[in-house]
Amino acid sequence: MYFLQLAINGIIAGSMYALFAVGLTMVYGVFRFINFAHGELIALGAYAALLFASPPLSVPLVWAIAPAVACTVCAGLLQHRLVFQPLRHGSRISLLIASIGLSYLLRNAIQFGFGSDLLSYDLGLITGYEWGPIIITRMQLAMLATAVVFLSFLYWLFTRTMLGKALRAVADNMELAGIMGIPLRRVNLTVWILASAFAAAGGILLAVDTSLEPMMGVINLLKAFAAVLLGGPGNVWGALIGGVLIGLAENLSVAILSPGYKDFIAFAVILIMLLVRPGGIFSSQEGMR
Amino acid sequence: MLKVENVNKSFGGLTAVAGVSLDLADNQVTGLVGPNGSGKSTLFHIITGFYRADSGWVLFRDKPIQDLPPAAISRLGLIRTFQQTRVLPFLSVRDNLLAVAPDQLGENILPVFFRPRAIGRQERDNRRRAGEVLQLMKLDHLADRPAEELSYGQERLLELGRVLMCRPKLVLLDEPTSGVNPTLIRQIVQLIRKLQVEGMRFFLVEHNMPLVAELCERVLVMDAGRLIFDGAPEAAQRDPAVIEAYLGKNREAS
Amino acid sequence: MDYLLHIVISTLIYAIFAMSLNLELGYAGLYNFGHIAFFGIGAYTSALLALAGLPVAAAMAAAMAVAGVAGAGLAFTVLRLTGDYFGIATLAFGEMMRLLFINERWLTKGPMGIPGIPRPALPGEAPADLLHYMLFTLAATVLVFLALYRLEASPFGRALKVVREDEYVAQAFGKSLLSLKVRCVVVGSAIAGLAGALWAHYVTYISPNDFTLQGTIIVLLCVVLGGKGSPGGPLLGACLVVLFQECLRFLPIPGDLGRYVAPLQGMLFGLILVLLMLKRPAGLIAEFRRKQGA
Repeated sequence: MYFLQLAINGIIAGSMYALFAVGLTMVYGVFRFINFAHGELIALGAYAALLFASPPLSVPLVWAIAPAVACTVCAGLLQHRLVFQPLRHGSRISLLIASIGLSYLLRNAIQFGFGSDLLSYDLGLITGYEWGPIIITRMQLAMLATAVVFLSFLYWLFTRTMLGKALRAVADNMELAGIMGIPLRRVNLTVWILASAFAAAGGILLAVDTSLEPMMGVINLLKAFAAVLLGGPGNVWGALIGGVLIGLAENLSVAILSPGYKDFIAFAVILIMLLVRPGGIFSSQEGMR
Repeated sequence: MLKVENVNKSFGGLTAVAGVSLDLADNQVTGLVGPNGSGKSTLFHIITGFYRADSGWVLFRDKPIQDLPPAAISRLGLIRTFQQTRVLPFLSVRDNLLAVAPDQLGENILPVFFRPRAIGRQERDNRRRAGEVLQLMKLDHLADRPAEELSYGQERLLELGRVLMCRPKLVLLDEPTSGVNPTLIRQIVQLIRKLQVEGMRFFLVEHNMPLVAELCERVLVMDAGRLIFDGAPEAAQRDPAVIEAYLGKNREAS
Repeated sequence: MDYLLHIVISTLIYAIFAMSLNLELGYAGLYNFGHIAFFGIGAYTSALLALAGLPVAAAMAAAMAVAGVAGAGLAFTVLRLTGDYFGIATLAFGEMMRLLFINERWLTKGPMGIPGIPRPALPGEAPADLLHYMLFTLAATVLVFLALYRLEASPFGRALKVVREDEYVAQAFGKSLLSLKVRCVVVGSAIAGLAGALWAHYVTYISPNDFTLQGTIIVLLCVVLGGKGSPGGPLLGACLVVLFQECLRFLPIPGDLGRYVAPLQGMLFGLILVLLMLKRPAGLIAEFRRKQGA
C-alpha cells in the first residue's frame, strides 16, 4: 500500500513534469534547440502567481493563475522575439550560450524580486480524500485535472485543427512548410504560447504542492529534459509518458534511496538515455557510433 | 585493392543499397554512376565507415574494414571527399593542408611537451609537402588567405590537395567536378591523370558522363540500390538496363 | 594591501579555471556546462587530503589527478553526444556532483562543509600568508598558461579545432574523434581541479553551495567575454569579471539593500552573455583575424 501511495504521488508529480516536457519538446521539435531558459518559464509562472496572490493585490490563488500564465506567455514570446529569433541563423553554440545566459538572467531577476529563501503560497491546510491508507489531497486532484485538461486540449489542437496540422508540418521541416505556404509566424507564436502556458500552469501547481525557490527552474528543466529524452525529442506524446515515468521513478525511489537523492533520478535517466537510446524508448535509434 | 561483398543497407523501410558486390582489382580509375537516389553516396559512406552496413563485407587490400570507424579506415590509406565542399573556412589554405597531414606526432599530448624537436621536424616536412601540393593545385598564391575566400572551384582543388597530403592508396571522390567550370574541370582531370601515373587509384562518383568516359577505364552503374552494370564506359552507354534506369526515371517524373 | 592580494588571487584562480574551460569549449567545441563539478572535485580532494596530513602541494597534485580521472569518466560516458545534448548531459552531471557533495556526509561533511583547510607550508614550517599564497598561485597560473599555450599552438590544438568545426572532415582524415575529445576533457578537468584546489586552500572553508551552476556560468562568461578559442581570452575575461565584481562592492549601497547586489550582478552577467551572443559572439579577443589568415 505504501508503494501505491508513492505511485500515486509519482503519477501526479509526473503529470506536471509531462506539462513541462511537452512544452520543451515542442520547442525542440520546431526550432531544433533545447531552450535552457524553459525552466525559468516554469519558475516565472509560479512566482508571478505568488506576486498576484500576495499583498498588495492579494488575489485568491485560483484567480491569480490566469494572469500569472498570461505574464509567463508574454515572457516566452519576448524570449523568442528578442533572443532566439535573431539567433536562429547563428551558430548552435551561440544559441546555447544565449539561452543559458537568459536563464541566468531570469533566475537572478526572480531572486532580486523575491529573495532566495523558500517561499510558499498562503493556502492554509489542504484537505484531502482518503481511500483506506491512500491519501490524495485536493491539490493533487487539481493538478491531475489540469494536466488532463491541458493535454486533451493539445490533442484536440493537433488532430482537429488546421493549426495543429501546420504545427506538425513545421516540426517536420520548417523550410519546406514555409515554402508550402504554412503561416510560419503563427505557428511559431503558437508553439511559444503553448510551451509557456503549460510551463506556467505546471509550475504554479507544482509550487502549491511543494514550494518556491529560485533554483526550481533549473531542477525542473532537467527533469523535463529527462522526460523529453525518454519519449524521444520532438515526440509530444512520448514526452507526456516520459514525464509520468520520471514522476513515478522519483517517488518510488524514495523507498530505496535517501530522499536527498530524489532529483538524482532524473539526472541519471538523462545520462542513461543519452547513452543507450537517444531517440527515446520508442525509437530504434541506437547510441551513436 | 577494394572489394565489396554483398553489402546491404536499409533505413527504416527504405532500401538504399541491396546486395552490391564489386572488386576494383587493379583498376586505375573506376567510375560509379547512376540516377539520383540510386545509392551511390550511401555506398561510399559504407565503404569509408560513416555508415555501418546491415550485412556484407568490405575489404581494403584484403583487410576487412566494414566494422572500422572512419578515422581508422582513413589511416589505412583510403581517403575520400564529400559531395559538398568541406574546407575549413577559418583556417588558411595552407593550414587546411597542414591540419589533415597524417600521423602527426604533435597530436598527442605528451610529445608536445617532451619531444618538441621531433614535432618541429615533422611540421617542417609537412609544410614543405604542403608547399608542393599548393603548387600542383596552382593555389600557392593564396596560401595564407583564409580558406573562406576561395571560390567554389578553388575549394574543390583544395579538397583534392588535402587528399594528396595523406599520400593515399585509394581515393574516393564524391562528385569532384559538380558545379565546377570547364577550365577547372580540365585542371582536375590532368591532376587525376598525373596522380594515376604515380600509383594512386581512384574511385569516383560522377554525373558528368563524357568525363567518366574520358577518365575511367571501367564504370559501375547503380540503380535503386543495385549494381546493374559493370564494364567499359562505351558499353555502359549502350546497355539497355542502364538506359532504362536513366530514362525510366525521366518517364516516372513526367 | 591585503585587499589587493585578495583580488589578485581571485583573478588568478578564475583565470586558471577559465583557461581550462577554454580548452574544452573554445578549442574542441565541447560545451561542458558541468565544468564546476571538476572544480569542486579538486577542491574537496585537496582539502580532505591536506586535512589528513598530506603536504598541500601533494594534495593539490592528487586533486588534479582525481579531477582528471573523473573527467575521463564523464568523457567516455557522454562524449559521443553532440551539441545541445552534450551541454545538457554535462549540466546534469554538474548537478549530480552537487547532490553527491551534499548527501555523502561521511566524506564531504555535507551542507556543513569543511572548515580549517590549511595553507601550504613555507620552507620555515609556517603556513603561507596571503602574499606568499598569491605568489604560489601566480606561479601556478603562469605555468598553466604556458602549458596550455604550447598545447593549443601544437598540432593537438589544431586537430581539436578541426574536430570542433567539422567532425566529418576530422574523421575522413584520420583524426579519432573520441580519443581527441577525451584527452582534451581530461586535461581540462585536471586543470579545473587545480583551480578548485587552489581556491579551497585560499578560502580555507568550502561547502557544496560553492559548487553550483552559478560557478559554471561565471567561468563561461569569462571565456566567452574574453574571447573563446584564443589563449589570452580567458585571462582577459577573468580580469574583467573580477574587476566588475569588485567595482560593484564599492558602489555606495545602503546596508539593507545589500541583498540585492548579488542577484543584480547575476542579472547583469546573464544579460552580458545574451548580448554578447547577439552582437559579438567571438568575444573581445577574436580567435580569427579576418584580414589575414588565422
